[in-house]
Amino acid sequence: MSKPHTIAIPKGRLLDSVVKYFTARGMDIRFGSRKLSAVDSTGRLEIYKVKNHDLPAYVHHGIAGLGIVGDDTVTESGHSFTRILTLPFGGTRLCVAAPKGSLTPGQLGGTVTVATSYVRMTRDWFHRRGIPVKIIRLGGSVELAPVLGLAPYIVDLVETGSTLAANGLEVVADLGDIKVRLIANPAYFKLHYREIAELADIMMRES
Amino acid sequence: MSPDNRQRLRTPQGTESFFLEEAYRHRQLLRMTEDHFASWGYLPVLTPVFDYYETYRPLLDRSQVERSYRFPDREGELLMLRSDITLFLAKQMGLSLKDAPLPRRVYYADSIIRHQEEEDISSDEFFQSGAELIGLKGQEGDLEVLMLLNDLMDAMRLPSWRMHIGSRAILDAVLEGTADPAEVGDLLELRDREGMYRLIGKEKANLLLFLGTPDEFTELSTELVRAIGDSSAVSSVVEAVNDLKSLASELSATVSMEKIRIDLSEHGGQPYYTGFTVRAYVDGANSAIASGGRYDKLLGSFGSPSPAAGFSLMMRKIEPLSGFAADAAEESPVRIAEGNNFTGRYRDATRRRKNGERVAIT
Repeated sequence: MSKPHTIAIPKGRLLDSVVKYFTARGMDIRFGSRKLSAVDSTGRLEIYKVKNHDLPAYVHHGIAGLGIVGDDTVTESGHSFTRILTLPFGGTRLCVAAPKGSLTPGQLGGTVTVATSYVRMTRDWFHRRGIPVKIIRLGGSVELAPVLGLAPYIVDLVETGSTLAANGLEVVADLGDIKVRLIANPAYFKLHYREIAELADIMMRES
Repeated sequence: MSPDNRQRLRTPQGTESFFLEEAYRHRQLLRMTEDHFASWGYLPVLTPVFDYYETYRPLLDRSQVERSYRFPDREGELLMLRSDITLFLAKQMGLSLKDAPLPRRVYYADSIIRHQEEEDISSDEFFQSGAELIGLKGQEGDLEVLMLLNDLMDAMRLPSWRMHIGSRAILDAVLEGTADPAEVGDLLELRDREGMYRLIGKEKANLLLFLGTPDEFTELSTELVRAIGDSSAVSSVVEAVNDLKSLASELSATVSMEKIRIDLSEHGGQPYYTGFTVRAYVDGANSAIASGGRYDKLLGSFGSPSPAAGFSLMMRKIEPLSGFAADAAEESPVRIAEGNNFTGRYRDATRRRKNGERVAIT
């Protein structure tokens, strides 16, 4: 067998889904205690478990040829990658949310203050619509921002909306779908496109 | 170290210095590429470090504008630092070649200055060397540029490398004003099949996403073009596809086809390309180490409507991977002269230098 593909997968909310997805297609992944790298049971993949936020850097610099990551993380990184596959799990939406009964940002007039971890996507969305925006960057738990009076609006990922509802918030605008994809470093893809296509075929199989 | 000294040692994002053995390796490789260009009849050119921004503004796409450094001069004119040597060179050639006999062959080796994101501190695109063939249109010119690049890659002794050849002409013919080339180009860079299907339809997307050997292109392109339909525009697609097939066929006479891929997602990246495009990839580099193509209308923007084609090499990416550069640094260690006093050591060093040794006096 040729050299295994190097692939970065994210810790956090996607990790279990990614491991189950590969396992269901015959590529069993087991990380030893405290180990951050592993080789799958077929020897096809050398896997690095990295922080979600850091994953684009590993693929951009070619440390990992492939990666599994959400569109949000890629866009916020500012890097571009070859899109190999869209995976059937982990999809979500990026939304503007505010306390129930709030106007949409476009109806408000004047500068909109928004708390978010997704600064680049938020800025681009507001700029494209010509809505002046002041962005407060937060690392997480952004639902607290309207509750505590830091910002009247937030931009965040919404899966079921239950966390928003629990904090008295609702979606007032949709920025778009966020998909989880298999990506590749563009140069790595160009040199290994046949082998990557074989991997993609296996990954597209029904489990 | 005092806080003042620490302040002085800060370096702005996007700058780099390299020293000693690394700089020696850089110079040796550069000298080899310059000798190579010269042996093909190319002459050196130097471009200015900055120029008027307005001159280039219509030729820059959004990302180029965002990445360029601009500043006002003392009279309030907006200037731009050299962020793309091909553009700056096109203006110089447009000015100087108006009545010159063609074709002209030029090469350059220079730094470019552009903003990079924090994560891109590797800054390995900041020194480029390249060649431009001006005034020779058509396949003859395309072949010369591609063969020059091919020969250089061999001379640099790079590990398993590949040239991906595309065609801006095919992209333009396929789109025929039906979609924004920049928007399609962005999706092609990502090879985003779903996005391409939505934007221009499955059939056109399948053609533009073709990637394979020249033989596979010959075998499959007719069917891919036929699937687009029978509109009048297809004839220009057929013509552009045939041009590329013919180019690949001519190349196969002299280049190992193992090193060539036809890759229609390679559209050049820059809006000024008009014909073939090329990028070279090598094991161990995280992005293309060379890129170029044909841009027959660019010099016309500067008053000299001559066809042109060329390529740039990302020297800082190549240096750590080049067998030539590694050997050049290793084969030539610095020796210390022998002798009882300075004069004796000076004479010994002079004698040994004539034999090709590198000798320090003390």
